[in-house]
Amino acid sequence: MKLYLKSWFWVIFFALVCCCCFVIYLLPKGGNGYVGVYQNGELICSFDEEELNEDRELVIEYMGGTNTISISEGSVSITQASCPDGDCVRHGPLEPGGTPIICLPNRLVIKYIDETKNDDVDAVSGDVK
Amino acid sequence: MRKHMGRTACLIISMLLLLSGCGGEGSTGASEEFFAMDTYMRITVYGDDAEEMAEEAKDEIERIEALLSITGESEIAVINAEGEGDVSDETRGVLERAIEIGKLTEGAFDITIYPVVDAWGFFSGDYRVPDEEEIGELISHTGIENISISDDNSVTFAQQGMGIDLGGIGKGYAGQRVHDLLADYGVSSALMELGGNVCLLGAKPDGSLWRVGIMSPFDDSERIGVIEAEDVSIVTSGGYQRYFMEDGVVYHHIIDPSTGFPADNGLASVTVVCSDGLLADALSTALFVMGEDGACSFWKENGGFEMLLVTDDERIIVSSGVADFFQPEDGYITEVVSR
Amino acid sequence: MRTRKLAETALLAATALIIYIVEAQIPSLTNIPGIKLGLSNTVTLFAMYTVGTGQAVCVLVIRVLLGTFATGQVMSLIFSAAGGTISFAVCALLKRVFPIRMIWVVSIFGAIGHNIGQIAAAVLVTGTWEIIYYLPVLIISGVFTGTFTGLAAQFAVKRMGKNDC
Repeated sequence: MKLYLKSWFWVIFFALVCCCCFVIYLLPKGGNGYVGVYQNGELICSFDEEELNEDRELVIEYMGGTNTISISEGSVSITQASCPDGDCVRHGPLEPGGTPIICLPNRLVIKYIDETKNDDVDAVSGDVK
Repeated sequence: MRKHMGRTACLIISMLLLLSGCGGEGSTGASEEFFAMDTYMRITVYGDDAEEMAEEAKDEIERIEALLSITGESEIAVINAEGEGDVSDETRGVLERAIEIGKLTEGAFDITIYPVVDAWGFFSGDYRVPDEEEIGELISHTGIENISISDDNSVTFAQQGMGIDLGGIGKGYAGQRVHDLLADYGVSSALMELGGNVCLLGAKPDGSLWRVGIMSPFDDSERIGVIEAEDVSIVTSGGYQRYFMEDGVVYHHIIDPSTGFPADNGLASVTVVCSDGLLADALSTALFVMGEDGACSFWKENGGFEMLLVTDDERIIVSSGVADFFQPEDGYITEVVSR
Repeated sequence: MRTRKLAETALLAATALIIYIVEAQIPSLTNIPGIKLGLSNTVTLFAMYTVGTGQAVCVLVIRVLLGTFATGQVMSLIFSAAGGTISFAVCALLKRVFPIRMIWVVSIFGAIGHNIGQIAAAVLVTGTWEIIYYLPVLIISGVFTGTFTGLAAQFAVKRMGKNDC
């Protein structure tokens, strides 16, 4: 009698796998208020919390294709895309701890980034406030 | 069948462990935050007994403040009021070092400039611009050669109306004392922020270098870059730190001992990196007074410290010893001086 | 005999293609264009258990290539190929262990492999490892779609058997 030939074993196994994945999915995903825009894996611009409060739109080009990124009321979303599927537009606004916005045809990724890793300092010399 | 169950259990347990492993990591530190020496201070100690150690550090700074400040009943305050007075061995040591650095910098660092700075109102906060005559009169009563310290620790001034201020080294000295005290207690990692003076004991608890931002003299919400270092003091002096405006002219608190007016030699700020906190503190002021050329030649002639100068026209000049550990913010170009 | 094989492969590939094109109309789970549920895996599995692994490869390759032409996305060729290859490899290995009544298990592993392959391709293409955030979602979806396609393949194999095809 081999366990792996029992259906109930696999039912329990896959149920556990699903539970684990669900928990992992709910875990907060890095980043601390900075939003980074990446093209082809390179950071092309970023916004800190202050900049996120200035409503505006910007158009990002890639090999003839375009995406319009719009910042309004502190959240970032893609409102227009040149590609036919428009998945990035359907993603809706970027949420902290949520999934990144990805436009594959234009190699564009917008996500929360952990700016502190590189930028945070332990102390500031000359700060007399 | 048992075997399979075991494997599955292992898998599930290791998954759970992976999940729980994402929490915070160890390395606890304790901080003391307080006001002393007319500024805001924070001392963070890592390792065993961190809280106790931070408390000790705070006590040490308050002890030094009582010894060196120009107010209250301190030994220095008594000398300034009476024109003479007896000092402890410790105060004598600090005074002698101040005089020594004064000689080394040819008067660019001068603890006897006190009456002039006082006339500008930088101690009282009642800022005013003294006229040339008044400054000329006051400046004739300055100069470290007019201080004499006898063998029995008695300090006397050669002239009437003199005064000394150890504000230019007090924080640096306090930082160094706390550094040495904590090191004696066996602390291997601590961060002392004494109102813009940064004193580092050892490296960070994880063994990496501390990252110390250098304040921009042009915008108090920005930094000009970051210095990575361990076990040194990093002190920045700049006119932006205390100043007042009158008739559209900015007057800052770093008085050039040779003119009696705010130093105006093309520098916006000077950062000194040095394993001696007192020296770092004194030199940051002295180099600011000397200006770019003076500071560079002083650095070439004297070893034992590294420097970072920010000029009024927004150039950054770093000495070769710190150049590799300095990362400028975007938009700044650094020039390196070598010996 | 050769004609029979040719006909079998063509028929299976056509079925797979239809499922693939229908699937392309289902909104994506991930906001990543090109990443699919992998429903056409039913046919691959069916082929594997009936006409054999060799012919199943042919079915897969035809489906991936023609599917790309049909849906007109070059991007989906990369994902289809990456997902299809890994899924096929996983299924081919597990087929040696699992009997017909356990096809659904093989299918789930295949579906998970399919999604991992697609994610890996997307990570490589965009240079953005954050796409991995979609992995838990895709594993869960793999379990469900895998069960569904697996059971479908299982019933089909049982009903039709080797000789009726």
